[in-house]
Amino acid sequence: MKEFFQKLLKIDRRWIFLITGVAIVIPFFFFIGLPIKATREVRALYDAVEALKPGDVVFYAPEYDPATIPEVQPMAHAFLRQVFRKNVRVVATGLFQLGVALAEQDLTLMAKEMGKKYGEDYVFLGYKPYPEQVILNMGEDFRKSFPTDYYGNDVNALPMMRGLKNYSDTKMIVSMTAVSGADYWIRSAHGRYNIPLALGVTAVMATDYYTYYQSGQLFALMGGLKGAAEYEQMVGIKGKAAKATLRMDIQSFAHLAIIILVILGNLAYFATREKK
Amino acid sequence: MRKEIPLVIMVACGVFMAIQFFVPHELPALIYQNLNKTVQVVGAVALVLGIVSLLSLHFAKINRRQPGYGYSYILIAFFFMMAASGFLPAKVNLGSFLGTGDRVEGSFYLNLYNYVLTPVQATMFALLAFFIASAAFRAFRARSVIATLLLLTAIIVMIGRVPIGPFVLGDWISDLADWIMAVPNAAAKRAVIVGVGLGILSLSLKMVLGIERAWLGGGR
Repeated sequence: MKEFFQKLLKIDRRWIFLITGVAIVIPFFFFIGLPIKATREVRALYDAVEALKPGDVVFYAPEYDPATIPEVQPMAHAFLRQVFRKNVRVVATGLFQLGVALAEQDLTLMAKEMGKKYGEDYVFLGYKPYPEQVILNMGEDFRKSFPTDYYGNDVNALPMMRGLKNYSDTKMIVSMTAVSGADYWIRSAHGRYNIPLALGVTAVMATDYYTYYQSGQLFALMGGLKGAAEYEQMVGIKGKAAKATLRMDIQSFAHLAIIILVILGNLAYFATREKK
Repeated sequence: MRKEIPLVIMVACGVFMAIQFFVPHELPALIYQNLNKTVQVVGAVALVLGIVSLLSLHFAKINRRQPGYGYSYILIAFFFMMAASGFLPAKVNLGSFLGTGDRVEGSFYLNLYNYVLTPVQATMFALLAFFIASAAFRAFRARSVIATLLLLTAIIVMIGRVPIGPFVLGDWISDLADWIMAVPNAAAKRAVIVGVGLGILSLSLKMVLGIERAWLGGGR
């Protein structure tokens, strides 16, 4: 037995890669659909959007790059589906340089799916460098940082932007982010202009933002794939469109594989440890 | 004067930005907005410096034939291609393969983004799962009481935050994982945030009062 554990401790890491790979790939082919329970911090965003009236405006700030698509994009899609379904209008920016194209594609895709028209139901202002300064400037007037939108249109010529000056004309700010830009929204948008703020962040980031949720600086917090899956379930997204829900099975098996590996590693460590 | 003028500008801006927050008048608000815009302009200039620095570093690497200099060719080529895609006039059409000059579906810019940047980033990030599994197997050991606590907490959060945990063990595991996230984790994080905030405050005060001058450069 001791020999087996000694061999186990010296196992080639490629075997571990293979075990992890198998644990990730198998659930791709067999969707189990394990139940997902909604947490209070995710439900808060869903309820807040449900409470909006048709014609209300939300400010949407997607800031994620291709590396974090699996976690953040399902949140973004579920949120946009819900707001467009409620006939709530969206004004958006993309203040992360690697995520501008994704922000534009998400908005266009969801608007097309929900039959929404650019300039009337949603506006994409695009990117400007130095996000914190842009966030502060938009608190005075969106036009200070964005006299034209992402496509080069004069913002004043867009019907939706008439009568829309700054954050105070919106009901909430929702940022789906994978970067430290989340801090800027907390500090400079909520902190200075006191606008209700919700965040959707990666699982790694979620640990950092629970404290802001508890202090009330965030009224809702979606963390990682789990948060996205909870939101998808509440919005009622089903089938292949429910990407986070599908991926939760994969994540379950990957976590299980890692836990088994850690337990085996510890068993081997204790079984082969020399007594003093 | 090379040190005094920047110091005076910094002290004036620092004091003004602290005070204007409490002054409900149009004039401070106007100056504040213009100062914010100035930061963006300074940032744009810094961006040029960054580009020059990056390119000179990689041209130097190629000139000296340093190990891995071939990657510098790729970096420089894609740097100019990505920049060019942003500057292309909307009416330009580079053909069905490369795309058009605008920024909608099928454009040169989005083709580079969707078919080069996206797969590259996704691949790099996906590899993390394998390295984390390998590192966890080799390094996550219950060598001491603290290490055991960390190990147990990690296992509870890992299993409690995915649906298979409550499905097999019951809701208590997800409740426990949520409690760990909301109480011990948030408490530790709050301590770090408050500590960092106080650090920033004290450093800012030292800079505004002219005590801390390292940012001026030039040694002592």
